[in-house]
Amino acid sequence: MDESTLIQAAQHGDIESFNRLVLLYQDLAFTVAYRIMGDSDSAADAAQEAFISAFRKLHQFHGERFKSWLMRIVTNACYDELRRRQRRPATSLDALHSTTELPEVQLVSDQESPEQHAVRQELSTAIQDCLNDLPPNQRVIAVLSDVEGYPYQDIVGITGLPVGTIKSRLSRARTRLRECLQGVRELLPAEYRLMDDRIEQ
Amino acid sequence: MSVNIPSEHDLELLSAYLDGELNDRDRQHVEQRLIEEAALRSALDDLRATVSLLQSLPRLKAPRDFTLDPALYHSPRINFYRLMQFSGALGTLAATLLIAFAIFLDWESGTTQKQDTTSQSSSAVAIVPSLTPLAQAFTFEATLEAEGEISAAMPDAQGTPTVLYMQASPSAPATLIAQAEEPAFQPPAAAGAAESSAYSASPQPQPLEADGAAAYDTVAFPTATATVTPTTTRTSAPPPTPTLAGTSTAAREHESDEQTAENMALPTEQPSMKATAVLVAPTSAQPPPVPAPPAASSPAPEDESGKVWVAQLGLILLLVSLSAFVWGYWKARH
Repeated sequence: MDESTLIQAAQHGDIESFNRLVLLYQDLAFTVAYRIMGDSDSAADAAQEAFISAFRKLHQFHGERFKSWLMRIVTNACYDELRRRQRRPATSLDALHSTTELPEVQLVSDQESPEQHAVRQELSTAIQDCLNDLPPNQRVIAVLSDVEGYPYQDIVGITGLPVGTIKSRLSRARTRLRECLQGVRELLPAEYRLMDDRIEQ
Repeated sequence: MSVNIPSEHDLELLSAYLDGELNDRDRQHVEQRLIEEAALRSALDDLRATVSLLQSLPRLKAPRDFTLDPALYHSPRINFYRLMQFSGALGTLAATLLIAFAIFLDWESGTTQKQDTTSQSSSAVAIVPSLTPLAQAFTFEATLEAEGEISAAMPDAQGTPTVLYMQASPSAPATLIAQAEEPAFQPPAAAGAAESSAYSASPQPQPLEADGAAAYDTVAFPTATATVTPTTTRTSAPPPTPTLAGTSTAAREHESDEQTAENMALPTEQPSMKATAVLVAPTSAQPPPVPAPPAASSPAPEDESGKVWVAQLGLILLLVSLSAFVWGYWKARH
């Protein structure tokens, strides 16, 4: 059963069809939520809330790309969670300044050695820490554009922001990420250290 | 050799250039500058490396399934909004029916009232066969305006004024009777003025009819009451209401004659009575005035309040139902 058939069945209240859509997209939803939220528990909560919200709003889905539509809901769920954090600054600071812990079941790739896996995990943690240092509005754009590879027009559809705002926030996010990654250049692969060498020169 | 540090605007241009989001003009401009400016090329390389690092982040696996429990989410929320729409539409229909029912009640009571008026005035149909309720009310008021003069025109107070008022208003309040019971006696010379006044107060003077109708008309005229016996005066009087009967001493005096008077108002059924009335007609030298017909019987207060209650209920239901429908429609769409 293809995606459109599942969507139509789910729109008619078939929960089993919707759950099959959930299984198709839950890794993507969790990954985006994790990159935005920075911790596994909050990401899982946001992803779960996003799927519940998606089921309730499924009648509003009219033919656009389901993946982008779902990402919009996930992003909004993350924004809601971030706003809740802002209302609880003590909890928020603890969460933001804690060392990022990757989820227990984390890497899809299974073709690497344990050493490579360890290095990759360390690098991922470092990048995620840099992402966590970004302001939320820049972080969301950076995740959607550079982590998930969405073009600007899709980001416009997901966030509802104008293209100019997206360009500006993305540029500033990249600049700050570059500065952040300079501090962990010993973790970077060789091809990325050239950047550090140029910066030092 | 000094290196120009790219500005924030330059970095934004480079970022968009890296993503292929610049228009042709800006892209050519950036490419030209990249050829000329090493710092810009270095910044572009940094951006490209940063983006590559971010793209290297692995896809994570969800720590658990986010599938929904069919027991909790069996029916989607959309059904709730659709239910609101359906309920709103149903309520709107019910409210419309209620309002229509209230209008029907009002119309039917108006029709019944008209029929009652016709049947009540069947005894006086020969007198005023086509008065509308509004005209009846106007005639009634006009008679009320003239009543004092009519009373004054009575040569004696032998119940005649009371009968006249009963004729003018079967449902007249007791105040009318009280005025009738205390007629202001004036010289007979004032009778003519009173007659003309009462006559001119009638809004719809009726044409003189061929048979007993003219007699009944003249019977109602004060002059007739002054010259003819009270029995004759009661010819065109409709049956008095219990209130009138209870409060009017004059009415009590002639209570036994009222049925006779009512029957006399049906000339086709009581030809002998009609003849009696016709005999009275020549005694009046005045043009036939139109006596006030029986006032329209007002609907019972509980009927009015019931209709108002139904209409109000319908309006409230209509507002609530329309709100529910619009809200459900809006929520379903958004």
